[in-house]
Amino acid sequence: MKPLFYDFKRSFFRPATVLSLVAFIVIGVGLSYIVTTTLSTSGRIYTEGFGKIDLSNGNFIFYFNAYDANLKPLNSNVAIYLGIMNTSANSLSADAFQTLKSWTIKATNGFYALNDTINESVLSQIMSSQITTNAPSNMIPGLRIQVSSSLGVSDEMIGLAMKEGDRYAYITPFGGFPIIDQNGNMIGVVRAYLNKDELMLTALLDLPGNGFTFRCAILNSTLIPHGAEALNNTIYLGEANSGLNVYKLNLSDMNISSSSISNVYLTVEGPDGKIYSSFSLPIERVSTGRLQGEIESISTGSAGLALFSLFFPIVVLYIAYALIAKPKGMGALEFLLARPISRWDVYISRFTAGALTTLVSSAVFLLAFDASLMIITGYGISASHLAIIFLGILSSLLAFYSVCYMLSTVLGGSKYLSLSILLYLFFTMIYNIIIVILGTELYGTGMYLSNNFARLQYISYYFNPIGLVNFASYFIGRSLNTMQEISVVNPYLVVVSAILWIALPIVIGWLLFRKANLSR
Amino acid sequence: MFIGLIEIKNVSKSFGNHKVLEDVSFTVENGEIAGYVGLNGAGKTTTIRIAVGVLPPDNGDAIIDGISVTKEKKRASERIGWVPELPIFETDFKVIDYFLYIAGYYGISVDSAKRLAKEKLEMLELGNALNMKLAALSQGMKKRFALAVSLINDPPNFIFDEVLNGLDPQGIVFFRELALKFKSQEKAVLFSSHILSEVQGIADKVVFIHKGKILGVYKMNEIADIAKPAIILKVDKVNESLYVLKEFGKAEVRGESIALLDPSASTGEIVKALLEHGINVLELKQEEKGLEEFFFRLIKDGGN
Repeated sequence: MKPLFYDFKRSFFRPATVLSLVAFIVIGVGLSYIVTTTLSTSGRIYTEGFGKIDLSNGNFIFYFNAYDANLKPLNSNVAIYLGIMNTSANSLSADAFQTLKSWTIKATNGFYALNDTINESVLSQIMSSQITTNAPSNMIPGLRIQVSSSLGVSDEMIGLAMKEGDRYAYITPFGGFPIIDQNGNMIGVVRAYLNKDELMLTALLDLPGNGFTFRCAILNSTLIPHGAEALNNTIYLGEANSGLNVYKLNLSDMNISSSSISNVYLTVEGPDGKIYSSFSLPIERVSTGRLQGEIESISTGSAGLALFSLFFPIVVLYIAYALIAKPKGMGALEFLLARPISRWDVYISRFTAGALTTLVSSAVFLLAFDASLMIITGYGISASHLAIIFLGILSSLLAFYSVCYMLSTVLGGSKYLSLSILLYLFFTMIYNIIIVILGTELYGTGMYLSNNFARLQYISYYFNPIGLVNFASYFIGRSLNTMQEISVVNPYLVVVSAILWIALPIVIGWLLFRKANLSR
Repeated sequence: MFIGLIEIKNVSKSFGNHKVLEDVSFTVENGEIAGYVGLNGAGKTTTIRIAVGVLPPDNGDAIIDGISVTKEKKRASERIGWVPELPIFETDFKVIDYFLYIAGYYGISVDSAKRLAKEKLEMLELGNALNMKLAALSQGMKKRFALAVSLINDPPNFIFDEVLNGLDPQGIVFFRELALKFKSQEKAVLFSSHILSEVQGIADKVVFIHKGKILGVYKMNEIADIAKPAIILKVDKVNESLYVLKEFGKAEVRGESIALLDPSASTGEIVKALLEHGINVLELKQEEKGLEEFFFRLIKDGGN
């Protein structure tokens, strides 16, 4: 085996490295959950539902569909409560909703169709609450739908549209707009999303049979076309079936400017020519990069990946100790050097082994983090941003490793450990405190501090090996439009700074090591 | 053209202001065992570290089979083995792993290195220690392991640095016999010690060093000649004897006996001369003045 790989093997597989890496992988998985927790409470999701109760026999049907902010079908847990709504109570209060029957469903891939029968007692309570004249006017039958997912939550309370003597009690569509016939009979809920040039139309339908077709008209105002014009100008979308129907149109293919449209008009035509139509449906403009941006923004933030670049230098410091400082301090490099090997071979081989350990550790951590993020949220960090984070973390760790390695060529054992730990504390804490003090002294505490201080901070990162990682966060922030431009950050200077931080200590270390007395 | 396979040429070395070696030169030739003798701190180990390429000299060079250690370190190191007095290894390694690691520097594949490790370690009675941590080895085992590692490519030159220190009698015999075996294989062997008698019986010549300077290089027979034993006599007429004996060397009275130092004639001739002068020799023995006295006289004569 090549000695380099042996050095790598023993630096990577030493307990300190492996245990730290395992710990960081666990932290990475934990971070994924932090991202999820943050998103699940603040993330945007799109939900829609429609259903009806057959008052003659209690048959209950409910269609549910959900998308995440990127219009990807959302995996969610949905709790459905059928009961009496108190419209005068605060929606958050306990008496806002009196549950008569509940269901818990798991809507994998977004859609779920619930079929059940409601017993007579529940049915009569629902009907009496609406029909009985004694019932308070603010007590109406309704449905509460609570959706929880890793990317967001929603809580909807909707009433039941019931007409005395009618056979069906319709559950007022939520999330979209109803589609009805001239007599007010409702067959579903429809919704329109626009993502760049792609118009996506969704329809949750409960149709009385087969042979239905779906059409739409794209509008540049809220006005709905009338009469023959209405049908002549509509676009045939396809067959319509009970359940979830999704149709996609590419506007640029149709020479329609996405910026000029505002509404759509949808129709469902039965085999007997009967038309069900929507209102003028406002288009929901969707920005699909937002979710990705939120995930990456949280991931690269101070509570995210920055933790790795803040604490992994301790392992890096130890690797330099194990590979050079310790054997040098005890005189063990001498026996090795009596072999057919030059000092340069020992120096560069062990540096490379430590650098490889740093590289592999960073890669393993990032991949583990990204994989867990993918598993939990369905979204990972984009490849280009992952590469920037990787380079940022790696250059930062390598720069600190080079400094430690240089120290290890002149100091052995405990002296090395003491000084390298001091350096770590200096670059991670003391240095930043100095910059804060300097910033306050230079710019005071007034309104101009913020921008000037940011500039000062980024200037300081050029001179701090562990600070290099902040440039990666900055470039990602700029790309996501979550950070203001800071004039002192120049990508070329960042690269030069990283190269100098890595190369200079290696050169100085070598000049010291080539003449060093390696005997104890 | 080089003479000798291990050649130390005008080597000087200082640590700070302390001059450890001053213009040290000597050679160890093919099929020769050279003892390298000096007091502790004389500069033996520093010379050896320079010879094996682990310490750069301030001046001079070590030449191994004509290859400069300072200029072509890797090639020179392939041709020399070294067993230090206290071998220090990276203690987190297992015996077998360190052997394989070092073998990697000789360009030996893992499979070949494993076979070689088994062969060499078993030969040196370390077969049961393959999976032991290096930190757990005794001093004797460490020396044998250092030897095993040095034998990876069977180099034509060997240096043993104070290798007998701390060894049990069996270990001492082992290394002395090994040095003789290497000599019979035409290897050049440098065998350092701070005790001259340790190299007696195996060395062909002895290089004496004191305070970083070479005091002299002597063949063993030269040493034996110079370090002649004194003759101790018990006679019935002491004063007359002193008169007779001054013809044969320096005579001095030691209690009831007379010691004749550096006798210029054989014992038989001296006894005959005494008898011819009517002096009866009651007792006669030779005093082993020995190598150590020779060594200390060298140091004294060296003026330091």
